[in-house]
Amino acid sequence: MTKHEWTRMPLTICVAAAVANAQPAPDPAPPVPNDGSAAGSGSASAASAVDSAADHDELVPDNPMDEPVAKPKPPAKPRKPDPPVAMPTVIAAPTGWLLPAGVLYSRTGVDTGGGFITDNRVGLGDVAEFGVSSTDQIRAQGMSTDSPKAIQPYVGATFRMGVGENRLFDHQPGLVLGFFKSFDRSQDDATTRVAELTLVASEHVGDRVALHVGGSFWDASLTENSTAFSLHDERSGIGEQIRPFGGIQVRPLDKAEILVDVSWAPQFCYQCTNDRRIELRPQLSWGVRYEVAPWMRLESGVRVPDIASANLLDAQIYGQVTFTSFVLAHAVHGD
Amino acid sequence: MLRFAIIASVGLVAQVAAADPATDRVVAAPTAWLPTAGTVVASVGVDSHAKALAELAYGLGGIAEVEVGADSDVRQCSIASCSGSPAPESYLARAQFRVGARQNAWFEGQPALVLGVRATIGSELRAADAYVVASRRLGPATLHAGLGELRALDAGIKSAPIVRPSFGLEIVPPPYPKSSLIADLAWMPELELGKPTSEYVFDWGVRYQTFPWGTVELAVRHREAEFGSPTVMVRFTAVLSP
Repeated sequence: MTKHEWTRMPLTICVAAAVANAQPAPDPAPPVPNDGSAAGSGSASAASAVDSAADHDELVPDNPMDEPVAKPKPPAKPRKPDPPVAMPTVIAAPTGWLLPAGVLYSRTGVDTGGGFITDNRVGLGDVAEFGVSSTDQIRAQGMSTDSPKAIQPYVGATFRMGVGENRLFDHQPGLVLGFFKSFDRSQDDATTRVAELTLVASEHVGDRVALHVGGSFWDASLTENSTAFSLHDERSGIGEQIRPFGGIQVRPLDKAEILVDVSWAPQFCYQCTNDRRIELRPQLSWGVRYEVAPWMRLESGVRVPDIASANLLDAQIYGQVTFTSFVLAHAVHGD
Repeated sequence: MLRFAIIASVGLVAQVAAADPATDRVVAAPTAWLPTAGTVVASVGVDSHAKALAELAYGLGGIAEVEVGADSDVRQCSIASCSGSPAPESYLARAQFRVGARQNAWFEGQPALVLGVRATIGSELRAADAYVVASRRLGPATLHAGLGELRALDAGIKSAPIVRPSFGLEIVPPPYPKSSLIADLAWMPELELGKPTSEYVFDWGVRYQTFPWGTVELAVRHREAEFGSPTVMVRFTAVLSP
């Protein structure tokens, strides 16, 4: 073998190996037709693999020996952003806005008077809402000269139904009929309970102001030593049970609202004369609601439980946190 | 003279351009400054009577502030513990809510305005005050003026409503932009022998910005009943913005 032939041999081996490597590998188990049309089966099986892969949403690999990989699913349709949730209360007064269908709402707060509140609701079909709450607004005193103290926890259930703002016609305010009924509450050898029927209208005035006006029809009972007193028995006329309430919301900044409302709550007096045992007292509240996130709001402000007495010492600073969630709404609607 | 004028001008521009401070008190007198949304303001301090204070405030949406804390601003004693000498300071846990508008928010030249209410937290001894205060920067000086109502309850006896003004002054010497001379005059409830009343306090001192996020104050407090024997106090305030 000449010197040239010695040098050519490794080169030939390398080229042959490269060419062999570049050839497609034989099909692992190609179906062999009986009619002898096996010629060209490599390309035919590759084509059939492409068709088969296409049929099964699989990507055809460059190398037919590779396992086909699943084709990435087309991106899911982007979910519509959740709409803003209008709050069902200003501070203490209810609004004419309902929670959207399936929306969960939870508000928890404390105040400097040692009060604790929790209010948990769910929106029902855009036309109603149901909730369970504990309030610290119901107060009681031994004698008329005593300082009233909150009875708490004071647990009750709320059902509200109505029509959303602008639902029936333009500029139609949100209208809600609500009912709150407490469970019996025993304290200081007395059992009390309250019920409130409300009708409230709420309307946006421009982008940054909303007004709420409503009326409430109250009843309450106090049972002491097997003797029962009720607001409707001790008061002359239905007018003594009806009270107006209202509120205003102003949004000076995009995520911050100033809230002011006037509401009413029963106050019990265990040792007063019969006509003074249950009285409705006006409450003034003002504060600020800060939207930390679309699902979380922080709120703080001042509540004066009995504005008729104009006693600054009764003023309470409160702090609340509110969470809203569309989890149930998305689960129900399947989006 | 020219050099002083330039320094003063730079100081003036810097002061106007800066955002409102976040501290809600000069020493005792309230200011109309509100922290920005989400800002946390924490203060701790101690005085020469070994009384401590701790306060934590949160900026609510840029238009309000809520604060909780404990301080010994109010003095109280009972018949048994009062022996002719001024009543000792008494710790009160208090919460405060303030809502208002910043400087120039409504019109050019408008001072910052705040309506504040402060109340005690769950105590038989109660002190509450509600006030309106205005603050305005005028060159190197900042002026604070307010009017408030004080009420107190001690041993079941309520004080009559007491309406009093409050004043505060802060001066930043142009050559020392990190230092402020501070002084204020304010009224506080005094609960002595079950007779809630009020007394004035006059404070003066220095505030030094030790960090971009924190200040140290050294102040001297003169109370009405013991003007000649003041209390010295030191307070550190941290402002943590999101």
